[in-house]
Amino acid sequence: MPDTFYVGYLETSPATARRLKRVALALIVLAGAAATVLAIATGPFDRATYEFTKERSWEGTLEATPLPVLIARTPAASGSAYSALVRLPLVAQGKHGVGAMIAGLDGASVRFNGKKIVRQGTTMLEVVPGTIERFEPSLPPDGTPVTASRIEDLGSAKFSGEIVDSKCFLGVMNPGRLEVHRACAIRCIAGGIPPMLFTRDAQGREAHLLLVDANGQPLNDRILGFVARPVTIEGRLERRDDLYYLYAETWARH
Amino acid sequence: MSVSYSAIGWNRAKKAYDKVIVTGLLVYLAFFIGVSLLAHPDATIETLLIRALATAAFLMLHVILSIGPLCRLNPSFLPLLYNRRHLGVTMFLTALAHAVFAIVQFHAQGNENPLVSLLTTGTGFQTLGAAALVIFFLMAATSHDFWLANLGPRVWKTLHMGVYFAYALIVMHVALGALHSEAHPVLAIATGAGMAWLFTLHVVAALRERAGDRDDELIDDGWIDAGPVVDISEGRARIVSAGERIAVFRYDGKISAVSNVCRHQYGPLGEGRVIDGCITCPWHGYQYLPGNGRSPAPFTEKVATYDVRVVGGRAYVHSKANAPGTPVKPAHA
Repeated sequence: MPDTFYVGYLETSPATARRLKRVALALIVLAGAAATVLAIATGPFDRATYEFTKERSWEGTLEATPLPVLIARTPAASGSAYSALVRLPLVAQGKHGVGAMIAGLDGASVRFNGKKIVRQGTTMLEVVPGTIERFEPSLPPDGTPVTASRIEDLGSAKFSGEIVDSKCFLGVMNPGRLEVHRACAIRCIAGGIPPMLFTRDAQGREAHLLLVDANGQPLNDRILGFVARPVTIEGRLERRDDLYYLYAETWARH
Repeated sequence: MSVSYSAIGWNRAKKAYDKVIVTGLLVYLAFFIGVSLLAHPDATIETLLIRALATAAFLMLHVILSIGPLCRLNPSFLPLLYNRRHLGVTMFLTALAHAVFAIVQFHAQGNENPLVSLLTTGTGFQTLGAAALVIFFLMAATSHDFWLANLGPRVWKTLHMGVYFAYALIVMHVALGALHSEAHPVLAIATGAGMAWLFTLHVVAALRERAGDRDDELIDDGWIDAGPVVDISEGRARIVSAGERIAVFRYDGKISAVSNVCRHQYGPLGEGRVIDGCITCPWHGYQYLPGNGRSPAPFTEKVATYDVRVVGGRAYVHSKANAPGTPVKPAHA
């Protein structure tokens, strides 16, 4: 049996030194292998994007309630005389809602610089501070009819899912949901980011429902204890253009 | 060994040990982030960094907790123990980096102080991780021999046994956090396998140690039969037990006995050997003269000595310990 006694401050025998080099190499290879396995297994990561380094100019009509959105026009689809309207929920930088930034601008035509956050057909804008300005809109010079916003009451409904902060969930963080993200979601919703119910239909398709209370008022501080937990919410569902709002009457964990 | 304190008493072995730690850590982080970016193109880099640092620290903690029992089972692993404290400090710094990135990611830029937010958002798994990090900090901060000498070996050792409590906190941190969110079973399996490995290793090592711990029979007025002298290899010891473990050394045609417990970190002196006339601890090479249990000048450590005698080719050691550093005349082997 080889002599295995080892004292670090004494000269190591050549045989021991060779053995230690082999062990060191094996440990480093093992580190790489373990990292590879754990990296493949880590997740879940959803399809969502945040244009962190890219600012674009946006313009449209600002709607402050029930939640701050920019109502913007998109070019008319082929075969249609009407341009379409898209609603883009607005948030500020960090874990903050736009509250103070849009004071007095409800219903105004505005333009600003913003960063796009996109997930599965829902687009949100992070407003760059100091860039919001009013402008006077003009009618389309080619006489294209101006589309009015379409608001549709879809009646009472009950949904089960997870309450998320819409900003992280739609793409700023990935994953922007589940227990690992719960603290951040609470901080964001407490800071004014619109809460959202993430649910799926029978076919497994995602649905993103913006949450307000039954009177259309923010309920952020009342749902913090339910964030990132399985919940069931009952209320009135409303469609405004391409966005869904759930006017929550009751909410409970399930 | 050193008579004065320096930040790190570097030697060739420690430098080589640290190079392996740093290389292993960098390889781990590079592979984790690189493979993740290929496998999960939608993942964000901050998330990958947080997870790479977390899993690296968790794996290092498993290695650290494995070294002690592995060395008790097989002395071939002793080179891993020699500079274990640097591995511990590296693990703490890796865990700290994970914590800092996570706090910035999940708690900063909000309407609350990030540290207040950490403690008040009601996510228990983060609080458990923070508690473990405090223990790791205390261990890393007191890992230097200065603290070992000033706190005393008993207090120091007790404090550093807190690593097992910290490990339990980290397992709960992982179970209530990452495992609560992960869809893939590999992390859960790896965490369970890590727990099973550490538990089994510690139980096997403890059983092996206990098997050799049965008190030897007192044959005559407190004397213990340590067996035939020829059964003790030259420069090595046989460990006998009389409530305390006693290391009975044979060297240069003589027999001497000292406490089995090194004053440095309670290493097993009886598993060491006599080098340059000194009993040398297998853990960090602390040395004692066999005839009086004192470290050679200018060092000042002392261990208890025991009276010895050789009758009819058998070594006998008295079960009553002499005060540390008491000279005892060696018996002729």
